[in-house]
Amino acid sequence: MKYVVLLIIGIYSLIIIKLVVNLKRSKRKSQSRIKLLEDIIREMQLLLEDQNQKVELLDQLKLKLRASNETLNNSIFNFNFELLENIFKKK
Amino acid sequence: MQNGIQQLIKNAKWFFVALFMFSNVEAQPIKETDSLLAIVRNSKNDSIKVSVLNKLALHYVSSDLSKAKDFQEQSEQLAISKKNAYGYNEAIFIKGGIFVLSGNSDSAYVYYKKGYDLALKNKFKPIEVRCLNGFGLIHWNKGNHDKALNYFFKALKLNESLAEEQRVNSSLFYNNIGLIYSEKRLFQKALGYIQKGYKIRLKDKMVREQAMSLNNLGICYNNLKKTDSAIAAFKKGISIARQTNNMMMYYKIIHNLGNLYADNGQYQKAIGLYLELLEQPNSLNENPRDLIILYGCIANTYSKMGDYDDSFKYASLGLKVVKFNPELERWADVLYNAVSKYYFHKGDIAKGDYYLIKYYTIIKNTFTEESKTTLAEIEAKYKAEKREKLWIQSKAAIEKRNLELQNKNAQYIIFFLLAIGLLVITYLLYYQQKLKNKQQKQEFKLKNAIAQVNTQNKLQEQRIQISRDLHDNIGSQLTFIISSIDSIKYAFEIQNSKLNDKLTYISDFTRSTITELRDTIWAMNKKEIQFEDLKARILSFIENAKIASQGISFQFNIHTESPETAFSATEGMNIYRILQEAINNAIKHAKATTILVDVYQETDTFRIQISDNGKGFENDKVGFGNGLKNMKDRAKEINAEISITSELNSGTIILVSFKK
Repeated sequence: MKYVVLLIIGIYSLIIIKLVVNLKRSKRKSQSRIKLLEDIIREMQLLLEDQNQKVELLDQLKLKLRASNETLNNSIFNFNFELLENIFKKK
Repeated sequence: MQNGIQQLIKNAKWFFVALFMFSNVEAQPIKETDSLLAIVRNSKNDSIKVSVLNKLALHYVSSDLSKAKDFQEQSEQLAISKKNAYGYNEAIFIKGGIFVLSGNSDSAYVYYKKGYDLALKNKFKPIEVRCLNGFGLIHWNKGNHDKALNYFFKALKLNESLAEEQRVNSSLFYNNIGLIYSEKRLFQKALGYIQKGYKIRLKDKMVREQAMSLNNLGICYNNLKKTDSAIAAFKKGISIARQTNNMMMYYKIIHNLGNLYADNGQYQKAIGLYLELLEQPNSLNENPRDLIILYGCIANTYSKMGDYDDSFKYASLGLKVVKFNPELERWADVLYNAVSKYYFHKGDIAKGDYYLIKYYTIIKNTFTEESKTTLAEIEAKYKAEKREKLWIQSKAAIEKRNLELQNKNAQYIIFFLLAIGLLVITYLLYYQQKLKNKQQKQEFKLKNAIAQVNTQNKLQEQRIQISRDLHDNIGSQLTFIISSIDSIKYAFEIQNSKLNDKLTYISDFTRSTITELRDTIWAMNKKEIQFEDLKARILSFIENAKIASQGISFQFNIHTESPETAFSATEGMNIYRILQEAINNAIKHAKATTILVDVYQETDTFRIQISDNGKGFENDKVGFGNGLKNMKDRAKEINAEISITSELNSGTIILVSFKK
């Protein structure tokens, strides 16, 4: 009877140890996968941030270009106006 | 008083019956004595001869003592000559029995002792049991009831410890014990033991011995006032005794039935039976004690009938026997009583008193409360031993039960362990599944997040790509404008200075716009801007500034303590813009002649310092114009610290510190 009890305890212990080991392994595996995914996300977020900064730079450039465009338009208009005035004066 | 005397007379009768115990011990179911005799004559095996002779002696011991003696002697002689130890031991024991029945207790004791010692020496346990019983009989005959009872219980105990095939029929001991109790007037108890013995005899078909049991039962019933039961038992006993030709028993039962009639007032019937007893053959009545008792009964009955002369006559006959056997005086109480009555009746008070005192002396010696206690103790001892035996049996049973219980407990433990184990395994499986689900959910969430970020990244990428294409287009258009202006200026030699200036302004402005556009595109095309890259850009800018601003001295110093620093596009761009703004301010507003650019690359900090020797400004008065504000905004955007220090006519120092 004693041996039967010991055998049962042994079998159960083995099963339980196996399950616990599996559980730990699965946990570790999952954690590493999650860490990898998190790293990917972090990388992508950095990339996104970088892109956002670039977009911001572009937005700034856009504003600048808009201002330059306005200035250039005015300048060209003034130049044309002056030029036409001179031409009419000569005639 | 009269009743007490009658009881004592009745009790005295039991001893008559007690003599049968010996025959009970030895009685074997020998039906054909002739065939046994034939064996003795014809057998050549001496051991068989000795055994058969002993059996014959035992058979006749209850019916014909002289024949019994004859067979015993033959057996003893043959056993001695053939050195048959068992046969000799048995013959010696039988000799003791014959002496008991002859009323010679001393001789009986000698032979029983001899038989007992031999049995002990040779380990003949059955003979040892019988000898113990014999000692009981001797003590009984002597009136030592306590000792007798002790021996009977010893014999019973030893007998019970023997193997089945060695055992003497235990009905004998029960019968003897019952008889002693009945002598002690403990009739209910006596009835119990005698009935026990009778049942065994019925079961074992011991017909001859059944007559004896019925006789004893009849006596008990009579004393318990169950007259009908007593008469029925006696009559049945008489019938069986006659059938089995057990004449000794026949006469004993006749005697007891006579006593019963006498007790119930049927004196004539009683006297008739008593007188029949006196006529029995001498061979059946050799025991003087029986004779004393019989005379006592006759004398007592006549006394009750008022016939004192006849009573005295038979009492005197009895006292004669007592005179020859003084050790049997204790049985003479009834005789003394009858004689005293006779003398009182005749008016001889002195003699009457004398015999009455003798009568009471015997009575007093026979029954005392003390003896009752002793009896009870002996019985208790026997019962205690029996209880001990039962206790051992029950202990064994308890141990067995405990073992079963232990087994059961072990089974429960196994089931419990199985259940616990299953629960643990189930929980682990459940937990594993739950964890898996949780992990899957988490992974799914993360993947979703990745997908979202990826989508955003792609969107931003597309936006950047579109913008880049657009800016490339704008850049080429601006280049075209510059080129066109330069061509106009070169082809038409414009005399009007105003127009010429305007064209120059447009050309310069467009050029600066292109520069700005290119700077931005430069920063955007880099994923990461290395310091070397930034340095080249700064040097290029300084070179252009040198060309544009003749007479200004530029110095660019790099102080390196740590590996090269890398910047993101925004960081690089903003640092570059701050530097541009600072140098432009120094050239345009401060009218500086020397501009120093110092770059410090430290372990965790990147610092860039632009200092000039221009006219400076007062911080509190000037406030922050667009240029200074832009610098501060840009520094804030990249989490850098900026400090602007200026004094009138002492130049300006702008320091940008950037944590790596």
